[in-house]
Amino acid sequence: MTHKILEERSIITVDCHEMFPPEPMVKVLEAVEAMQPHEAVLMLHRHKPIHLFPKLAERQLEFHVTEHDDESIELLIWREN
Amino acid sequence: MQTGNLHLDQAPPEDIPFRFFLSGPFFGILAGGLIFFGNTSLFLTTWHMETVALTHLITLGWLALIMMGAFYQMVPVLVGGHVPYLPLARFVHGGMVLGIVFFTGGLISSNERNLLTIGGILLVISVLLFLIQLTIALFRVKASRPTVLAMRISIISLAIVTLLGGLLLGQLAGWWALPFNRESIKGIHLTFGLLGWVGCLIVGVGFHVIPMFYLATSFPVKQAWWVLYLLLATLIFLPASMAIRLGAHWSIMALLPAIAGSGLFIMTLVGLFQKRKRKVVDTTLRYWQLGLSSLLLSFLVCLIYPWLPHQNLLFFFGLLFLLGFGVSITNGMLYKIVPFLIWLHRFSSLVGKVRVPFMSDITPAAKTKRQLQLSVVSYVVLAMGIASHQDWILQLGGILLMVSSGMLFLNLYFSIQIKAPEI
Repeated sequence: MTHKILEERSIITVDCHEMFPPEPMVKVLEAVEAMQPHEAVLMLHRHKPIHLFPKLAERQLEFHVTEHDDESIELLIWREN
Repeated sequence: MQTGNLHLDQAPPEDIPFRFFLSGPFFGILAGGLIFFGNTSLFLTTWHMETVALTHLITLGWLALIMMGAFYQMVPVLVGGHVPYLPLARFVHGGMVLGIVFFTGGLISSNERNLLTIGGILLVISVLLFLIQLTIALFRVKASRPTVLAMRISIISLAIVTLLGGLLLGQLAGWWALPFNRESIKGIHLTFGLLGWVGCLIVGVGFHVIPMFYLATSFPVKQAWWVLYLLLATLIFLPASMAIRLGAHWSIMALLPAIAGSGLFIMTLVGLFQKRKRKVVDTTLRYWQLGLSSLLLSFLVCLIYPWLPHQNLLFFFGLLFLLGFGVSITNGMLYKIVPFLIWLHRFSSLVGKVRVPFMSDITPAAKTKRQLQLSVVSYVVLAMGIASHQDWILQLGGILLMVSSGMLFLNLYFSIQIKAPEI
């Protein structure tokens, strides 16, 4: 993934490849709740976390998804300062 | 914000899947009750009207209602399809429930014409509304994935099943004579119902939910396509062999691709399970194991039947495919999907703000395990009752099926009563 946020902020990576629902959502939402203004959360998962997107929108967070051929994704989440 | 082609909130309101899911076990109780009162007379011939009623209490009452709820929930979420006129789902549910009660009531009360007519009309209208909604949703999706194809085959099969079921019902109610041989229509109706509508949906959803809930690795796409092509081959050749009445041995030949496809599905899963790093074993996984083992056994019964054409084998097939495979897997999936939806709709917004329950707090494992054990015992007792033709054994099996279905209903009902804390 290439994104300007990756260069500008400290990245907290949450690798969800080995997690089962709803653990990925819990871990990512806990991470974004604790996120500082100079930080961003990078979620790594084996498929698109459909149910997470509305929860991020509810919290007025910005996000960017990169999808790979094997259906895995990288989801970058941050809050505009 | 970049979300690809996703609608941000794709999940339907929780009451839509829940009303379908809670109705399934209710019809399981009625099926158990019918076995209790009908006992051995239900297991003499598959054309007995109470036997047809029992079959439809399970196929329409349990399987179709739960599968319809799953379609409304999963088409938006799994394949990104937008289901139009979503509030209509509540009318579809009401029409289906009343239609099943009137239809099976008509069959049980010696083909009471008015009940059959009302039940038939309600069922056809409800299924048509459902088909229109889901056809629009599924055929507008551009994605070319095995799950999408499986769902499309399932929906097309339901349309064929309804058409043929309507023809048979019309003949029974005295509206018209059948245009083709009755045995052939029944055979084709069963093939599309069991293999197309039920089998393809379970396999298609399995491609996605088994890896999601238990494996942490995807089901290989190439194998998934092969599984579907093999099932599709049987769905074309078996009805064709029945339509031109080629005989039982040709039907067995036509069934072989589906057996190979199911075998490939199961072998691929076994391979993936052996390689998984995080060994999660719960009741729902046991239901999948029970269901897929029953599916293989049901195919074995089909293979034996032409050489040993005993009525009991047809009832064993029904028991293995409908209860062992269909009911077990839908039962197990309810224990995954219902707690997940409760958690999603009521607790997910609170994560990071207050302590939220785990899914296992919503539907406790001890309760689901007890119900699984009771289900297995009920299937075994029913099989013994069919084999021995003893009234008391079948009555015991009927009671056990009622209690097991009732336990599922209560487990789901108490889960749905859990409310989120106010903050």
